[in-house]
Amino acid sequence: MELAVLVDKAAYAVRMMRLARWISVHLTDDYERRVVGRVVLVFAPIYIDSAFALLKKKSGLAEQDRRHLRDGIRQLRDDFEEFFSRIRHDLAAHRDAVALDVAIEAWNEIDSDTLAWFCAAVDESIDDIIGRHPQVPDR
Amino acid sequence: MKSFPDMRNDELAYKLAVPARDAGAVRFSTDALSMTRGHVGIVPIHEIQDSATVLMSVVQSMQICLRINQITRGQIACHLMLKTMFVIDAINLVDGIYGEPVGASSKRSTSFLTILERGNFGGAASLRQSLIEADLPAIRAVRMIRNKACAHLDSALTLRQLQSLVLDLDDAVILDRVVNPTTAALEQACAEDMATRWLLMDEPSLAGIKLVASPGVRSFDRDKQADSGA
Repeated sequence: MELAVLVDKAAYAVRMMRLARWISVHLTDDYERRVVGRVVLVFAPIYIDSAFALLKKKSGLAEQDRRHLRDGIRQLRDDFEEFFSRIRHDLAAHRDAVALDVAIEAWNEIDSDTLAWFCAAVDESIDDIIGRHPQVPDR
Repeated sequence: MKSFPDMRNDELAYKLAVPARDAGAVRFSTDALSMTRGHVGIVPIHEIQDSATVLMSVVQSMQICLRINQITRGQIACHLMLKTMFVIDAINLVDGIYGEPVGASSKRSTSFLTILERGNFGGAASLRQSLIEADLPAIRAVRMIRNKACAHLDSALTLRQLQSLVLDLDDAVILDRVVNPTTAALEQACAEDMATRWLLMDEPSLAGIKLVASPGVRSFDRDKQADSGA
């Protein structure tokens, strides 16, 4: 698959995250905001997978740049695993029966700060990737 | 990198900020997260309640999705995002009700059907019958779209192909053949036993009770702590 196609998918994940956050910022009911905000957490690992896939591509990228970008994505993945994979698995991409206190605590974690932090992290990451691939036009 | 054009639509932002018509009242809800909405709920003490309240929560989330989809009608990116969410929840619903016979992973929680049958609850027979009548090809089709284009992005397909999978999924398939019959079967099964009939209460308003704050739940905006009062 061509590099541009892989970049498109990573960019799509970022746009979906931004849009879910944008809608949740404008809604007024906190419960509805969390329902939509979950989508940020659904697409964060999709972004990470897409970004890894495009870095595997032989694209004339200097080895130093490739290593820098890969380390950035790894960091993002570690942060994600640490804090949010539980929410994604139990309250968003799947819905399993979890203990009520765990569910409420996890639900609480989906808030404006969390979503803002995630969106900022992937924004920085995708800009870095596009910036270091001169053959990929800005999109 | 540019965002979707939908996000430059000020009128849309304004419409999203209009609260749902019934907002503000304290209600009794039967979904697993009801207490995080400032509603009155229950603490589950039996696996049947654990399972059923999660299912009610999925149904609730799909209704919210449909409400916002109405508001954002005509905005293609919003529609794509909400439909993605709806597809994921549709599969969460069928998996939670039926489990492995409809293709759910064995790692998921015990299905509602298994719990009903294990405990000889009144709805077991009708829910089993609904599984026999379930439209497995339609469920498989929706699950394929969930796995390729919603909860993951298939590496063999282009973005345009992935988006088409979601956008071309007909309401006749996801609503008429998957979500509506599954929800109806769930409601019918719940209605057949006193232990589950209460789950069907349609969020009655608790007149005379005023919401001051949602206990144990942080505000979505952290700087607006405990200010979710009605």
